[in-house]
Amino acid sequence: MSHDIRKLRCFAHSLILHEATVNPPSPTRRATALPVLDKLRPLLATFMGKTGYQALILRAMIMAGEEVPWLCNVEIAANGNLENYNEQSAKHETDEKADGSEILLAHLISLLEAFIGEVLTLRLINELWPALPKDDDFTLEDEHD
Amino acid sequence: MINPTDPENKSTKGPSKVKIRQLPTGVRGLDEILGGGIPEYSFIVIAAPPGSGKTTLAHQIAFANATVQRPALYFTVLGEPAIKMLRYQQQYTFFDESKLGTAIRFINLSDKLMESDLPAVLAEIIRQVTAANPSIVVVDSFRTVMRQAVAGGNQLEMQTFIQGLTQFLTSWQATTFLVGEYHADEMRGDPLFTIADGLFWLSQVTERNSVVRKLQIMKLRGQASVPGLHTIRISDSGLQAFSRTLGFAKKKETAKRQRRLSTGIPELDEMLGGGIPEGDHCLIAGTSGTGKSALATQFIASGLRDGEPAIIAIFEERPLGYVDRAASFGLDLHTPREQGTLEVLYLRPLDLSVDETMQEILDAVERTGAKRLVIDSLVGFEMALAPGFREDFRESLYRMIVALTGAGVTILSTVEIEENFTSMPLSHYAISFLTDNVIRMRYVEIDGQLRKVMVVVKMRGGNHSKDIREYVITDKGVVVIGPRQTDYIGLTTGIPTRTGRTHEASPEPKAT
Repeated sequence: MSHDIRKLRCFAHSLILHEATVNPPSPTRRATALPVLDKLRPLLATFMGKTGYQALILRAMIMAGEEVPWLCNVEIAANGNLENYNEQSAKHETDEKADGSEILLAHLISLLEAFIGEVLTLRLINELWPALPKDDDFTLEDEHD
Repeated sequence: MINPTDPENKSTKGPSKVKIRQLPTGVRGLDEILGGGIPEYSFIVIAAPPGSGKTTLAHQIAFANATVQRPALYFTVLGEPAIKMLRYQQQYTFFDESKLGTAIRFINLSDKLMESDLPAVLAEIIRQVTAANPSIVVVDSFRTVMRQAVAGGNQLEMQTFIQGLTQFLTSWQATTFLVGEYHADEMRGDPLFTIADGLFWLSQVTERNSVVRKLQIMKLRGQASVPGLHTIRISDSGLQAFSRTLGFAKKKETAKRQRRLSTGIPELDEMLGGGIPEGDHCLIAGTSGTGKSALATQFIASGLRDGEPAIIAIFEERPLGYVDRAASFGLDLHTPREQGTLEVLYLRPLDLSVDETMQEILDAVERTGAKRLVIDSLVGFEMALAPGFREDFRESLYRMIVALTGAGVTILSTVEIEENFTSMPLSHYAISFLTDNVIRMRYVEIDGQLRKVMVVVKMRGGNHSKDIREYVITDKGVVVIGPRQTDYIGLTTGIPTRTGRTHEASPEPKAT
């Protein structure tokens, strides 16, 4: 993997917070990766096909599951939707929930970056979140680059 | 709108024809092959076996034409996944990532095809095209769409799909490209090829260890494309096409002037009746070490002194060595190289086609405005080519020489020949038909020495000396010495018989 997953996790964290700012969740719910994935899914499925997206999110899920085991229990629908994500995350403490959310998104971005490169990955993301700030939190570059 | 009362229409001009705009392909050399570009709103099939560059060609066309206002829609079907397509295609220099998502949009139709049927795929294409108003539509790979229909045994559905797609996209003012994997024997009887306005056929030919990519415009409605097989190459910048006409199809021939160009050797100029006629091709034939390259260098240096830019294409020796050797004859080629009036092209391409190599020479001629060109040597040129191209060598060489000399460039080529001592062959190439003038240089055995003689064998443009003249190579280059040899017969065999004086001074010192 070309980028440190910790750095990508920071990016994922910032993206989740940004989405929560644009579309705030209900007061009782904490921001998760789900709304981000819900936005990414149709765009990626448009050019990869649903099957392609499903394979990509499955791979990200398995990689993230090595760090956050409860993610392995999340089921993925044929269209790439995470079927029981909320139920599974509800079984865990807040920090674990956040970990799962951010790490899953970080791995998905990492896969995209590995396949199509940083420029195109950021382009896709900027297409969905055009108001994304252009600061350090929103770059895929490693700190040591 | 046409106004029937408009005197313009009543005149001899008649009603004006529809003007078909031509879209650039973004592929160097291809627009010229197509006769100007891709006819707008046409329906083109790009067919080829795997690995021939059809997807890259479709991408180049899309990137060359797509704008945010009139985007390109690139539909991928069951072929290469778009994520991999993007991964690989972004390596090419034509790939402009700023166009992605806005000017160029990738849409995957594989789910539609797997879940539904062809009418559903057509409906999805229509939906996307209606929403985006594209100028370019690509379906890649169209063959997979067709295969599914054929496998389902529904020929009518397939034809309805093709008909519906062509009619809709034409009405929608989109230029459409259907990309598909086809083999040559599959083209018979496929209705797609009948309906299509254009058929671009790409292929790969393996010849010994080299692979040659070719392009043929098998069909193109509404304009005259250049017929035949054209070489294509895929490099970092994508596809490049090399027209069989080398881009000279539409160039006007320059009327030849009667000026004679000096070879830089006064005695040889005399033998040639004043020099080489401008715009001629002159062949210098001789065995190794007879001074062909020295003579060629003197010809170039003479032109440079007269302010004529020049090109030297070499294949067997590096430019610095070539230029340094010229310096040993007192000829400064370093300065004109630095000034840009001389280019020494080192062409050792091994796997290049003859057309690609010639394109490099033509580019250099265009760049420098060269009036003189040396090809040193034709044997090296041929050896530098991939084996598959050697068959085409003479034909391509002929086209280039005719084109360049027609444009007023004077060419001097050297050719190494295998010497024997029974006859005087001019060239093993049988290329004298493409040369205006032939100068033959050869060794002769005289008085225990290998001495050198030259003779002007042929001059198409006028009379010339028939004398066989002895010459030496000194620190001034090729220097012709003495009058014609009248003391010998059989000089052309290389082993003459002395008939005149029994004693003569040797032009070069003999060992003691």
